[in-house]
Amino acid sequence: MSDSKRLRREDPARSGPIRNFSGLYQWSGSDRSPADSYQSQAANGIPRHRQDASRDEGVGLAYRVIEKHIRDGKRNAEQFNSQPYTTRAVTDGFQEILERTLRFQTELLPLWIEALSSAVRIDPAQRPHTPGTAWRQEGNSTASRNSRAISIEIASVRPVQVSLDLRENPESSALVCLGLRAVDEAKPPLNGISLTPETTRDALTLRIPIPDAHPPGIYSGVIVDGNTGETRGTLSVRITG
Amino acid sequence: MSDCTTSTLVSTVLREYGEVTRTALRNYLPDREPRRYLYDLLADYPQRGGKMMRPSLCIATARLFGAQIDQALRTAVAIELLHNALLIHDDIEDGSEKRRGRPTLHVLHGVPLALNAGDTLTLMSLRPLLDNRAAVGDRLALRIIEEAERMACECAEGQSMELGWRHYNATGIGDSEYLEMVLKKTCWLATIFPIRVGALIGSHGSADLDAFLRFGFFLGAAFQIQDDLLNLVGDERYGKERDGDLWEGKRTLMLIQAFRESTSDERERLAAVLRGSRAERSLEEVLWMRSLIEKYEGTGYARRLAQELAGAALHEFELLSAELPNSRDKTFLERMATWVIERN
Repeated sequence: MSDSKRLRREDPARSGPIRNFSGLYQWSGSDRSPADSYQSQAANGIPRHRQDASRDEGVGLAYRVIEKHIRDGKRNAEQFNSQPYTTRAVTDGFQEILERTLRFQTELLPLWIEALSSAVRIDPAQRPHTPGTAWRQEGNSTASRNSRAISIEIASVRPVQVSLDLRENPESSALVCLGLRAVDEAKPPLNGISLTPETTRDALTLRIPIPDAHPPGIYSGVIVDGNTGETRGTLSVRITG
Repeated sequence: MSDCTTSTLVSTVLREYGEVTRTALRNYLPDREPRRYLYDLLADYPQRGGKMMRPSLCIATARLFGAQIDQALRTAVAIELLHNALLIHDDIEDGSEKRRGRPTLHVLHGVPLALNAGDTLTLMSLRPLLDNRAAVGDRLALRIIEEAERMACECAEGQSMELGWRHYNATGIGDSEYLEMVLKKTCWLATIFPIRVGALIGSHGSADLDAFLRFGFFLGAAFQIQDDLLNLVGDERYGKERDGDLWEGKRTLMLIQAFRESTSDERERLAAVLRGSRAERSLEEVLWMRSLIEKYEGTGYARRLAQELAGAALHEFELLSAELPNSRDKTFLERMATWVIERN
């Protein structure tokens, strides 16, 4: 029999055993679907070779269009803002609540300051009359002698409401808060509250630090003159959440 | 899932969110003079119905993250106001004669009054975005306005591309250019912006908005291609002028396919037909373009691409929603991918 009539097998496609079984499947070793492949390859400009090329081109083309659009958008945005944000991933529900609370605080605080500024007033008629500290009503007294700007700084991870009633002797600059207590004696007092005169202007800064784990509730106390011990006002802080 | 199930859920949600948006929108349309020259015109298109797809996508995406309807409602109203404003302008630019089964606004009242009404609706869409401050806070409200500004730019660019192709009789438009135009002109307002701001609202600004851009693009592109198909083969429920796109010389995928596959003589004749304005085009020429599209299976080509894009939309949605809890809104958004190509 001539060689031309002999049956001939084609040369085998491989010359050794397949050790890497993951190579058997087209998108093996990952959860990537065709669209994932389109997406990454479109982003890298890598051409694909598939049996049904015309069908691939439709979705692949669409991915190329949108990825270019995203790149162009980011490039344009960088021209306007390249400062990194100090954001971090929200890992659980509690973290999300904290972030939302902080955002709530930053939006609510200006409103509270505005409301408190209008609520704080100095009424000489209510000042307690004690020997040696007679109130001298001057004929040319102006509103600035009986009122003082107050800045409030609250350090809290939860919403807080502050009520401040301050009756101030204009000559007194040493105001002290003796700590705030709740009606429920089991709750710890709220300490560390300070009233500090500002050096650059006739104003006070009220600082209220709220420990993260402090129990919610209403905490109230008095503000006294640090030199004489006389009551100058009251402070109430409601911790919610 | 069956077509009936998809259609039922999507229709139910569209009706529900559409109704609440319409009710809220009425509060933003002044009831005062001049009614005949302005405020009656503003109320016309919103009262003619519509699918309310855009505001529904916004509300559903916000609720996907657990937000309340009220938090997304003002944004949904702004979207619908702007959508109707652009419809008025689109109808003028396209010379369209029908909108939702009735004469277009400029046919009823003349171009100057209709143009002014469109301008007013555009400006009025700002008010609900400003009112967002009460619902979502200053920071998110500002971000939504920034998104709206970008959306407006993209829409304008997309519209300019489509108008420019017609005005200058562009004949070298391919699928890539068509998709880019649709991305800007249609997708940004119809799908991308609503779901991006919905995600912003629902996630308090933490969601990856690029993921929603991809999902929105595929969804919107499939939606637009189906819209173009309905213009050729839709029935009387369609509401717009049948073959209106051919009369206007719009570069649809079907026409692009016909251009690509036709002989040089056919291409030359097609270019000549498209050179004229709508008023200069004859019925015979429009029918010839239809026959050319049929000859080169333009509708089949466009329908296949729309289906592929719907599949890509489904894939993108699965990626971005994998860790979100199951809900009616999640199912609604997922089924929108098939609804956009199955609607008629």
